[in-house]
Amino acid sequence: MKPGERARVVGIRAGRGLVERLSAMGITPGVMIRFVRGSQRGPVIVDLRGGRVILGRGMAERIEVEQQGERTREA
Amino acid sequence: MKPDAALRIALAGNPNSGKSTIFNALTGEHQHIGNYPGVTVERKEGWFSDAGVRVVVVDLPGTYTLAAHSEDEKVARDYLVHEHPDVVVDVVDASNLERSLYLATELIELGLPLVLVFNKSDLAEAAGYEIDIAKLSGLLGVPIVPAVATKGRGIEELRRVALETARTHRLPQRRVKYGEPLDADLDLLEKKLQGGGQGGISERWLAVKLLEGDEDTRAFLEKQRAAEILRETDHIAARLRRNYRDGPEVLIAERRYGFISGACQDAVRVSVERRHNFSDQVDAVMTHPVLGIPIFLGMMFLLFKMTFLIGDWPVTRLESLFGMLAGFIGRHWPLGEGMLKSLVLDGVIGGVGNVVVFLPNIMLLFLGISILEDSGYMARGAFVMDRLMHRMGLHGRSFIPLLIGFGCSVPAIMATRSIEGRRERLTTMFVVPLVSCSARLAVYTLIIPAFFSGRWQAPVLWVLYLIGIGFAVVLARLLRRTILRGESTEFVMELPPYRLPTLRGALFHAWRRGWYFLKKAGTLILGVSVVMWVLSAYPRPSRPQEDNPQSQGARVEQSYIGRIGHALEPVLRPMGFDWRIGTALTGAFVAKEVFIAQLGVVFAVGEYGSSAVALRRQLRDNYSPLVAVCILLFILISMPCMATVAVMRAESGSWGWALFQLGGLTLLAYGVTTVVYQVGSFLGLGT
Repeated sequence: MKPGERARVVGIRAGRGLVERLSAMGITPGVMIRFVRGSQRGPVIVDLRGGRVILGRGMAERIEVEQQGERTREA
Repeated sequence: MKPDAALRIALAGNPNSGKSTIFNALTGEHQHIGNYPGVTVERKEGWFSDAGVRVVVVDLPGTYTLAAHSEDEKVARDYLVHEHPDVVVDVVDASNLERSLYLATELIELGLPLVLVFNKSDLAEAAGYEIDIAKLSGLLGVPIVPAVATKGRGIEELRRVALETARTHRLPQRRVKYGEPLDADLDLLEKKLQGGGQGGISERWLAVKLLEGDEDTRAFLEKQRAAEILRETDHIAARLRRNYRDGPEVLIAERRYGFISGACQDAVRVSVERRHNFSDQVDAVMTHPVLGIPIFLGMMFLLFKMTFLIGDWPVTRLESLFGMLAGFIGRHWPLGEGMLKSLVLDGVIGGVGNVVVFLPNIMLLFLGISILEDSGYMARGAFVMDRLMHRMGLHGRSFIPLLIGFGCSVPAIMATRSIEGRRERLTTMFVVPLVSCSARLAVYTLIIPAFFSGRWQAPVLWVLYLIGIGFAVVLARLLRRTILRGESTEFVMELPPYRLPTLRGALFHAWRRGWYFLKKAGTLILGVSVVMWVLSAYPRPSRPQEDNPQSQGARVEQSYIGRIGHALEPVLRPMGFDWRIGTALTGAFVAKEVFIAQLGVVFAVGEYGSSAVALRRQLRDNYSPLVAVCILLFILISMPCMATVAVMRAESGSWGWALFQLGGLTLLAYGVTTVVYQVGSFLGLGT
């Protein structure tokens, strides 16, 4: 994803522990996120539910998003 | 109710919600900090009194959920579930409402009296939120008190509502709605759980946790022999997974947010759409891919300078104050010469001095950290540094402790608090002493000029620092792959908007950290200081001696420390050390720089300072450059000083880790130094 783009979270490929941590930060399937910034190999910053969250690279790659009907991994 | 019966309020809430500020506002000076047994989590308790009733406030660790995956979450949840506080106060960041209410949905189900505080309501207003408190309170079924903790607004009202809720034992009036089919499933589980003797824990909470797949709840029910319920749960979970693709825990989280946004839709209006504007502009610079790192390093440079450069002034003042105090007491000593006088002057006052000198650095460091944290910069720093630290097997937040380690390991180990995962935190604490502290630098600056010509002095010093950093990196990776193995706590953190930190909050934090150090580590350091003093002062020669360097040297050789040095000689031989170095090393347990003073005494050149040149000459005459290198290496790697051990014990919550670090690093130093000495000797460098 590029800065400023929006996408909908469609899935999280992670164990229960990570899923619950992400849920607590507001990341659940169905939520709209906006990519703020981040590089290809480092952590990323996203906007969601009126707040802002930093995701480590490993975490970001487990989140599947859908952009204009197109399914991709985060970032 | 008995007049002195204590009421207990548990304070829950997200990190960054302003929970600590609320806690401080409620309890003022009446606070007590400790550690929960066996974990690295801080336990904060305070109290206030309400018409003669003592009200205890327990500040639970800041968490986003009660899922109990991290130590913090476990501690918070265990407290709520097992200790049944009279009321739970959940601090909610009103300017980040939806996310903050997630924890509230979990607390609503717990079946304890609950009050929500909408903190930072001024920020929420400024961001364009209009919250209909009465309506939202009705929709969630719990009392809500708006507050601005930094300005003390809403605190009295919070006290009143919390106490009323506690006294009337008013439980949340609404249920979190999960919709179909979850509600029906949960109702079924709840009914089956009824009457199972679950000791005050709400059946709804157990049902939800069970369906989420929570291990602790499962284990609890297995103990209750509730096999049928567990089977039923598995059955429901399997069906949900079939029908919805996601596991029940994902569905539950999704529905919780659904419940929250449903309530907010009715009770919250957003009038302006302009959040994050200011923060965005600042962040464009602060988290810039190129500029971010130099800005971070600049901030860290300032933090370091503030801690140690400004700290230097009070430290030297304190040292001379204690010198004056000892002199004063010495002159007016009423009980005649003898053991007691010497114990008080050299042992006790010296020991107290050993403790107090750490205070300025600790307090300044936490003042700085607190300002960086409260302003919101720290999260940006973690973002910028994450990639680099990750490669070391460490957390983005390990950078500050390691940096502060160059000044002193004691505040550095205390600064590991902000590291989230227990494994990362212990790893960082463990390797901090490998970063050369300023006391080690004192030893280097004595020894290096004695053996190396001017041209080589700086490079040798650099290499020493690099060796330390190298060992820290290697050891950190090794620990993360062996005893502290485990998936690194995946990095997810909130990025709070920037705000102006309050000086009062920062000062309070600094003061508390200093006090905590005095209480937790101070007594231990004092005790060891006195013991070390006894070891170096006893046994005394039977007849009085002249007080000249030669007789001092002889006396030290006769003292317990000297005897320990002698006894260690066979062990130290493979590293090229003799009893004199052994004696000085033993003394250096008090503090690394004591190594120099001890050497000065055993070589009978008097105390260090006036006689560095004489001592260097003695060293040169007695040892080869190879031995000097070995001394440097051993000082670098081995034996954290007693203050480090004390603070390690306090922060890790166990003696085990403190002693493991002490022993482990010393063994490592022994191994490395022995190899260097043996190989060096073999190559003929030993002469």
